Amino acid sequence: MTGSPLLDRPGPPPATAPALEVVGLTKAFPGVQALEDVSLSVSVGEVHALVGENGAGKSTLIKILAGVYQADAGSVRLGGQPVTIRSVHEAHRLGIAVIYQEPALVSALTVAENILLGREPLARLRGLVDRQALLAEAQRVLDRLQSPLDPRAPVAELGISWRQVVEIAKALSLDARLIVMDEPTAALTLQETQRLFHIVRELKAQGRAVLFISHTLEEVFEIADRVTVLRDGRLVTTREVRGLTRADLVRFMIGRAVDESRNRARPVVGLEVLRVSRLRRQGVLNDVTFTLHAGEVLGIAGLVGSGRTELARALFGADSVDSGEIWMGGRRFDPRSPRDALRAGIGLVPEDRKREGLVELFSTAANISLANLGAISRFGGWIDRAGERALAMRLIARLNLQPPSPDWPVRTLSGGNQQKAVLARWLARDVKALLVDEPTRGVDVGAKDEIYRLMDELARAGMAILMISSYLPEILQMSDRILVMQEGRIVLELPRSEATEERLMEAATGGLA
Amino acid sequence: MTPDHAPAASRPAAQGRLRERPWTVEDMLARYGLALALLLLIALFGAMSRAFLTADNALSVLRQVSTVGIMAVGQALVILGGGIDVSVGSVVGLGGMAAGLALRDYGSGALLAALLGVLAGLLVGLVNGLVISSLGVDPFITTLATLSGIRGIVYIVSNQYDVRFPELDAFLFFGRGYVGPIPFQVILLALVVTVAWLVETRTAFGRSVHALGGNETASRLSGIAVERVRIATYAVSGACAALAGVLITAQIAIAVPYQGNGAELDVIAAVVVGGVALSGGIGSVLLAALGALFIGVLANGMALLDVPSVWQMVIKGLAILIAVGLYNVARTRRV
Amino acid sequence: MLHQRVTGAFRALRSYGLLAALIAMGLALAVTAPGFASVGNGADMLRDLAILGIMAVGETLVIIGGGIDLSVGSILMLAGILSDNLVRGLHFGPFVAVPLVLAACTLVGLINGLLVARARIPAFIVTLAGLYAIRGVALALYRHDVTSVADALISDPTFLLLGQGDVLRVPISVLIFLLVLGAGHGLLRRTRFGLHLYAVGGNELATRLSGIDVERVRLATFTMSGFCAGLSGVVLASRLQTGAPEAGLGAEFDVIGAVVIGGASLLGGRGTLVGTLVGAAFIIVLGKGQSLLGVPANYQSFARGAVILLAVVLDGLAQRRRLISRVITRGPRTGSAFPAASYPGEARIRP
Repeated sequence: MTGSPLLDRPGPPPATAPALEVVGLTKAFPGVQALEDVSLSVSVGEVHALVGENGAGKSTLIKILAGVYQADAGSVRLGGQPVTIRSVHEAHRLGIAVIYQEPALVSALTVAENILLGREPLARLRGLVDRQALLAEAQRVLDRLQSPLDPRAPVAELGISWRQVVEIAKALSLDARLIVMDEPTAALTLQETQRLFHIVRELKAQGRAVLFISHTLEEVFEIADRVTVLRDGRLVTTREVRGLTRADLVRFMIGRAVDESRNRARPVVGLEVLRVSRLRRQGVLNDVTFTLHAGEVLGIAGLVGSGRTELARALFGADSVDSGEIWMGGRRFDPRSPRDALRAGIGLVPEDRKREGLVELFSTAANISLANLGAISRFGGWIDRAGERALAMRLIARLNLQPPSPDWPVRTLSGGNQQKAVLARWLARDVKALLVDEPTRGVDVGAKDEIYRLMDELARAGMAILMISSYLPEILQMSDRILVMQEGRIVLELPRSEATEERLMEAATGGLA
Repeated sequence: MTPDHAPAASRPAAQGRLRERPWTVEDMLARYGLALALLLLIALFGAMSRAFLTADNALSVLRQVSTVGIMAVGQALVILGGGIDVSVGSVVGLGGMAAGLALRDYGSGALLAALLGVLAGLLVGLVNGLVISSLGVDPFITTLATLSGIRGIVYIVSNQYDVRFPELDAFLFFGRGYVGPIPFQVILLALVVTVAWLVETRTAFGRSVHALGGNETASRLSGIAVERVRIATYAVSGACAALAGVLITAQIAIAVPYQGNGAELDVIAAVVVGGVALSGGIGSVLLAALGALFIGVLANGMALLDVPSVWQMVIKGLAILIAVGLYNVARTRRV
Repeated sequence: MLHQRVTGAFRALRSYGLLAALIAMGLALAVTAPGFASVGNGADMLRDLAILGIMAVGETLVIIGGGIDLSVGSILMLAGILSDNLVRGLHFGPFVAVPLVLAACTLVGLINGLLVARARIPAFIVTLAGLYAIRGVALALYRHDVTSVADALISDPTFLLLGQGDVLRVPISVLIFLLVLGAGHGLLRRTRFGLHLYAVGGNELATRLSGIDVERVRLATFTMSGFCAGLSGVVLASRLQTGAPEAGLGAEFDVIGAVVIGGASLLGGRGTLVGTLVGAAFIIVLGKGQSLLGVPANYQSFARGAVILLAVVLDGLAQRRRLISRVITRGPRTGSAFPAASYPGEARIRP
């Protein structure tokens, strides 16, 4: 194996030039070599996965293709023709469509207006928009996706999974030859992911090329033809997916084997920590009743919009409820604000760490102590900086946070490390119950493993953990008991031993209603 | 989206011992640029005008700057928390008027009158804060409305006349007194700046203000009493503005209803030149005070050089633009 | 535009609420204020409204784009002073002078726009600095060397038509305002530019990623704002027959107040000219009513502040409720986005 994707590619040489060919791409930022001599190619009609731990260079590569960054060295060829992508606009023109994790849409406008933003059909009088044509074109694209979305709907009213659909429609309407997706399924449920894959297969059949980043290895095996692994900015290998095992892939990514099936025989769970009874909130929560015990991990499964996040927020005092009761440690608990929840010993790791979890301007240490200002200050307010730093260092070490400096601004950390910082915040407070919403979304394999290990440790030490996740393997791996929510109510409750992905999905999609 | 160029978990310590994050030129510029520019300005004016570099002039500048400086400290706190307070101009008038009326109509002592003035400003700040926090009204609009409203109140209570009050020595000392060679106002400024700086950088409250301006949602979900912190910042801003009003009234020995008209623009200009970002979370009260000093020195120098007043306005505008432009450049180029 | 249809229902409620308040206030004043319900006063208020309204159109465009223009008052002053200089002082014909003045003010707006769009300086700062700088320049240009009493005011009859003339009993200034309003309305609702403007104000990143030149859109709004402020200034000078420096002081707050009362969000991406019209009318009626009631100037500003606050509080409450409902229903609201047939496996929140 020479390591060159061109020479080592198995199978017959393609009759036509590859849709995308990248040779020797190199990019450095101050202090960091993001990409070094990376080469890969994507054939026409191929689905090519790009994997690697965070910091491996995947996002940088995508951004270069998108025209956001310019490479320091190396060349890019589209359909055999060398190109220089100097701007986002040029990338569009060249037929490259990029779909990011965070849907970039304008909430003030409708679905149709967003799909055709910048390319609105003009009426006879130049400058005026032809509304009929706009709607018709948007409807055409949505039909191709088999989406029931109404093109007249204002995007402001759509949740994140629907916004992604709009984004994909937008890319489709650009008639892109190369479609690049940056973790497209991170916020989608299994159902929606399947629909996405259906679309991807459609794109394949149409002769387009798809390049996507994914942290969900199952998806790689399900949809990709070939996979490229990057590590530390360098190319590790490009392989056909067929014949590759999961263990192989993981090993390529992190250079070590990961024990994913953890034998977690945990000691018998302890006392009841949280009791929820008939929690109700108009249109969101419907008669929710359950208990949470010390030392247990309670997994909450369900589709996007089933009320799981709202439940966590209600327990945390971030949202109000119409009726129902909550008891904490045997005493009535009525949180009016997160401060009440904190005082009672509950912590929340929110779903969207960037928007709800971290103060990006702050250092790691400052973010860790954010919920703990009272404990690190004396005489009613004076911050004990040394103490704050020491606490941060301890937690950084415990969680293996990289880089292990408390002073780095948290926005320069990778997704996995940022998530660890948020977790550290609650460890600093020594909470009794931890509500975790999507613990490993947007987190690389190595950090994911560490977070699982941490949660396991915490549970063994007696913490009660409520874990919301859209990733069923994760639910099955981590939970002692599992609840499935659907349309705001709990439709299934069972111990892990009796749970299978099929049962959970069936319940989540209303099969038991 | 996190940049992928962050050091990966697999980069071991063998790559080199842990170093502090790389300092770039832009970082230095953002932090020390203003001080540097100020020094350059002083050098420039000093070379061009003999009257500039005298102790007399320096103290005069400092005294002129002290009121705006005090106000800038309060405003910086509000802006750091993600808000803005354009009502300060009217609160200046209110503070002075309240003190004047207390002296004239209620025969109160100097200290009490001053405290009442400051208290009036504090109350206005509380009202601002309450409306903004509890009713969720945009801060610009709220304080804009307060700007009108409070000015109206000042005119009402004074019956549109200037208010002459018994000229208690103790009271006049606030505005005209000296401690040794240094005007009392300047000492007060130094005190206010020092206390504010300590609170901002060393206390939980200060940290909360920064957190609020940085990410309100994350702050709330971390248990920070967001509403309370916000209301407090407006209260401080109101108190600072009122204090400035009291000082001016003490200096000119008369409470004028239009006192402070337009001051809000000067204060915001000072804060912005000091590098406090209007979006919140970035900057410090220390630099805001420095910004006030910069503008004061600029105005002083131009006056000494007999620059026509209309051009002074233009130059002031230009200075604001250049300062902000530079900060922008420095910030966007930072990794 | 299309999005207005769905959210228009809510906004209409708000606008109607404001309209209702306006009518109620008008009626109350008609009864209590002497001279309010007279033709003369009506015409007066319309003329005032025209001047405020023309400026407000430009400001609305800027605010929808996510910016703000604090320099409009100074531009107004500049236009008045320039008109005075050219028409009265230098005896230029109005057909030469007016275009010159408008060109100058548009240029100022362009400069504002360049600083905001190209130099990336926040609009608040640029136009704040502009407020100072332009005022300074205007004052420097002010020439009031009066040689005779007759020469003290602008007397060119054609020029005076702008601010004082009528066509079929309708003040020309009002016609100009309606023209500008109509043009602005058409721009926002029917053109690509209008769509892009809402996009720029709503989500700059998304708009940029769609290849739209965000800077150019913003630049255009400030240029138009400069033009509108200039036009207002010309009309005002025509009405007052002089380009007094006092005119325009504080105008920016009235203008911004009108736009915000009218429903535009200072964050950008929202707002309509119809709303601005109502907001401007509100401010004019309130001010005129107070004057006629003999309310001393100080109370007037207090009341104005209170009214602006009230209007915005109510809007804020309405917005909050909408925001909250948007946050909790993570899926699309049934009935508005989905056809009747349900997609297999999709969870739907029943309201």
